[in-house]
Amino acid sequence: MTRFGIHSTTQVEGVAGDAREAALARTHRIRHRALGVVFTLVALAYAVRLGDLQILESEAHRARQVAQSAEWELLPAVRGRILDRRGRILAAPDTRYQVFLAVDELRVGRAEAIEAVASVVPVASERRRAVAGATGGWSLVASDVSDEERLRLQRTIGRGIYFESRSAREYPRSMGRRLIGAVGSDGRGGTGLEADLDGWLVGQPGSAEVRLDGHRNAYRPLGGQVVEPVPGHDVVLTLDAELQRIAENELARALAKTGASGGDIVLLDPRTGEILALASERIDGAADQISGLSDPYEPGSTLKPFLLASLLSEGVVDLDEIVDVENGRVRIGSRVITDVHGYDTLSVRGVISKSSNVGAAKLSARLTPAVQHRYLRDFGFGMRTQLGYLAESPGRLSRPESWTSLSPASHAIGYEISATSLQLAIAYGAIANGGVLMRPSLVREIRDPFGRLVRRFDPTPVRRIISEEVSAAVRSVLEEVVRDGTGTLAGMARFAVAGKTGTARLAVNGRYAPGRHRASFVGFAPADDPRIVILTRLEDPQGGAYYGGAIAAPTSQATLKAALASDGVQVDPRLVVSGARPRPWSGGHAAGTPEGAVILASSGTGAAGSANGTGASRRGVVALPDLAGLSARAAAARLHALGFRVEWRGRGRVEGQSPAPGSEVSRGATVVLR
Amino acid sequence: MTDHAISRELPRVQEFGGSPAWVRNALIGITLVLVVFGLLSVYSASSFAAQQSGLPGSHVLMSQLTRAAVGVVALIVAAFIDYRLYRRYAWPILAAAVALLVVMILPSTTDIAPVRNGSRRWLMLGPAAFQPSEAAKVAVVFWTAALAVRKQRALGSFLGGVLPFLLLLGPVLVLIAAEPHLSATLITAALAATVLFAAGMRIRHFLLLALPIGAGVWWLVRSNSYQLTRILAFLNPDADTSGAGYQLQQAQIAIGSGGILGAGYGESTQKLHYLPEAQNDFIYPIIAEEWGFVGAMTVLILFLAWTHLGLRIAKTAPDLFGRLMATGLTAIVAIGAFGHIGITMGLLPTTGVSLPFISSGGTGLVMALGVTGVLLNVASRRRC
Repeated sequence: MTRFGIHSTTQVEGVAGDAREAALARTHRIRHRALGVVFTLVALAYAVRLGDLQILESEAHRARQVAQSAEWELLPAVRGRILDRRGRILAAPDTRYQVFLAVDELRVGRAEAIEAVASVVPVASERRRAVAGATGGWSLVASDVSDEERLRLQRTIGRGIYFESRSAREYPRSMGRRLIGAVGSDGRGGTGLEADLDGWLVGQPGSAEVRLDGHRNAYRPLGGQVVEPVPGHDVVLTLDAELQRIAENELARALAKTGASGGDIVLLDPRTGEILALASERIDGAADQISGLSDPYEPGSTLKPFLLASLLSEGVVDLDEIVDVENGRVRIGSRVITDVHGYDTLSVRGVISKSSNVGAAKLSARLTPAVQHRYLRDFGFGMRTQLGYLAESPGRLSRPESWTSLSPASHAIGYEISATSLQLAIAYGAIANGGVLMRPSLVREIRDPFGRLVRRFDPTPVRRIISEEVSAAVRSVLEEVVRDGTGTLAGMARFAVAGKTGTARLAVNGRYAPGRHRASFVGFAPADDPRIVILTRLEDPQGGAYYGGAIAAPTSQATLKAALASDGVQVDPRLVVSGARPRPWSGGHAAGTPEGAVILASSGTGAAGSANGTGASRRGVVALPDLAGLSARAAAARLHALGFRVEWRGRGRVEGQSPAPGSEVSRGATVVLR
Repeated sequence: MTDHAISRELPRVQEFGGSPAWVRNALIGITLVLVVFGLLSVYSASSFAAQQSGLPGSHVLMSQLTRAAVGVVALIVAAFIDYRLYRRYAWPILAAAVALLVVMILPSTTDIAPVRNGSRRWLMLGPAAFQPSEAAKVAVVFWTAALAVRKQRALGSFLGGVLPFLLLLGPVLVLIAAEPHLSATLITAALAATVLFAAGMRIRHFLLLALPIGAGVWWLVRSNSYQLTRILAFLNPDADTSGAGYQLQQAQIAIGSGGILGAGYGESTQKLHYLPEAQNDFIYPIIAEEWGFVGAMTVLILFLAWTHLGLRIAKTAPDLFGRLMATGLTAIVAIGAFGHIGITMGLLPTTGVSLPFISSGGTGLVMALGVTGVLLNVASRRRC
């Protein structure tokens, strides 16, 4: 009665039972062996399949895997820097981050996390609300976060905080922003030189092998291939940051003081054509437009020196020849040309230095239109200067075939022709440098990330226009303009300045509008060995003074003074004029007081004008630092940075200053250093 | 009906003589190799996903180490329990397993048997989770072997021999299918079939049963549309690139891209969220990717060797129950292993089957080690 039925057989059934036992045992043996065989066969089939997959089809499967999981991630290249001619940084790369909170992954409460972020970077209230109401995903909490702030945030929050890096651009100096431009959201140059020099700056992006997971997230595998990005090149501009700041400050002052709607100050080196400063303001202009390059205008009297240069080159005039200027009124064809001051006669010098329209108009008749046109064209008018960067206008110079009988006279006094400030300045550069038109340049060098020179842009002469002699003669006349002509307010005590004023009437809707003018001064210094060309243009000044000699000349003077006192212009000390020349200063300009007087140009030139101008906050009252013992250049640089004008009357190092150190002085005032 | 009687009555059957020591040692050795290799593979397959969820990379490995420790204890304990007790208590054991299975389908027990991914497979007992269907497999093996011994003379007839098994196994399978857990249902049926096949059930009765069972499976598949998708995906994996077919494609990419020598340990790409449950239902492709043909073949051969050792222990078991039970227990591991490998290679319908000893998961590992312990116990008993 055991449960093992097969074994509880009786003896009688034994034989038959034994046979059945044996049959059953055989069945068990066979079945058992069959199971072993089945599993072995299955394993064999699997082995075949494995060999198929892993050996024969392996490449195909690996290719499918690579296709779905391997990818190259773009590694952005570090953008090159933009430097001024002295290596001062104008634009440099900077990584900025956007901060996101993943509310579902935070270890701490949302409010706590926001407070933690807010303790490092400011968080706008609407972003706080957005995080508080988020139902998942990433919420933006802050942007424009620096690398250091990112690390601090990472430490405080830990889990649930995410950063997205953005290569940003840092512009450490406030000057030249319009010229330098900005980088677009894609990291490429968007406006200004950032856009035009993008090819040099952008560099070569690299790539890194990444693996994508099944959710399409990318990971850098250990030991994955990486092609490092090549950083962009540094661009060294011809600009001088300090001169640019001086030019911008002086232009802002002049605009504030005169109520002009816009203007330019251009500083360039006549020997090389290098632009040292280019300040442009236009109240109604587009933010990225540089009017000094893009806005051509009728230059007026500042064009007269080119007439003189053509006449002298053609040998049809003598400087001391007397011209009948008919009491400042002459009729040419249907039009009457007048002078501001009527003279009976003037020498040819006087025609220029007193800016006689009548004289210039009459002298123009000595040239054929074709010759007059050729000289203007050779000085670069009517063509782009080939600066190569930024938007540049060619101006307008019509063909002599289309000239009317009035055209020679009009061209002589700067009408019927239009030019940009840069065209005018570089043309004056040709007079200043002995007769050669230079191609203006803004970029000096390209350097690789290790500082090695990649390319140098050497000064490029375009053509010789006039002889050395003619240019020297024109220079001497222009020096006269400043010494005792219309441009005396541009004169300086220490250097002889040469230049020409211009007061053009403004055309509004095709007609010259009464009472609307353009005041300008174009000149260079020192007159005997010009190192710097200056152009000042003030468009549509309001109030009483609108003559170029009255408003553009003093602005030029202030700019030149600051420029020559700074280390931006190298001047041969032998050119310093010994002793002050007697200069007929018009009233209200205390800067003219002789012999080291304390000058606080509060009345006309500086602070008073600025207070109602471009923001009083920037132009507060500042205590003067003690500058004794500093080099002239270092002292000037410090004062410029504080917003002062500098008048240098010493030798070598600073020995005294007025006002005294510690005095509370309004910005924009002039400080005299001895 | 005593043990002593059994041994005395079986002098002629030389096969029932216990196994030599090397069989046991080899079984222990292979088992340990598989478990250790499994821990390594679980770590490799799970660390990425764990870190993605903000957990330490060793998170799954640590819990698996605990389960392995419990499993080793289970092996040792089982090795010392006289296997004949399972025959004596075959009915109570089956009843307990059925009771657990009933708990899984009661509407009032969702607290301890929650719905996960549309099915209720896990019994939550405090910190531990447990799959009653795994226990049911062992219980069914014990019970089928025990009943097959008693009915062995009647096994030749359908009504007297086969029908009683069907009457009890049928409801058990229905309970498992009701979780629903199709793969466990099929595997349990296969285990019972293996035991009955070893016990001598007639081939024609198998064929007779194949028709209604096939129809039943078809009906189940039809009622669970995702199962149907999987079956169809298995037949044509390229047709469905997002669901089951996608998984199967990814598994084959994993295996195939391993090549001969593999990508190297920890270097699998397919574990990066391409294969769902990489440490469990798709661990073999990860092994094949990282260790290549050499590694994949080694694992395959280890499982085949384990199977043959199990069958050899069954063959030399001291009695028929030991033999049938050992065969069934061997089949638990063998069907699990060959099922998992066949599914991931695209040779069987895609369904979730874990790889014994290797896949992460507590119930499977503890059961597999416990089964090994029982086999060792069978192997150590020479006609005492």
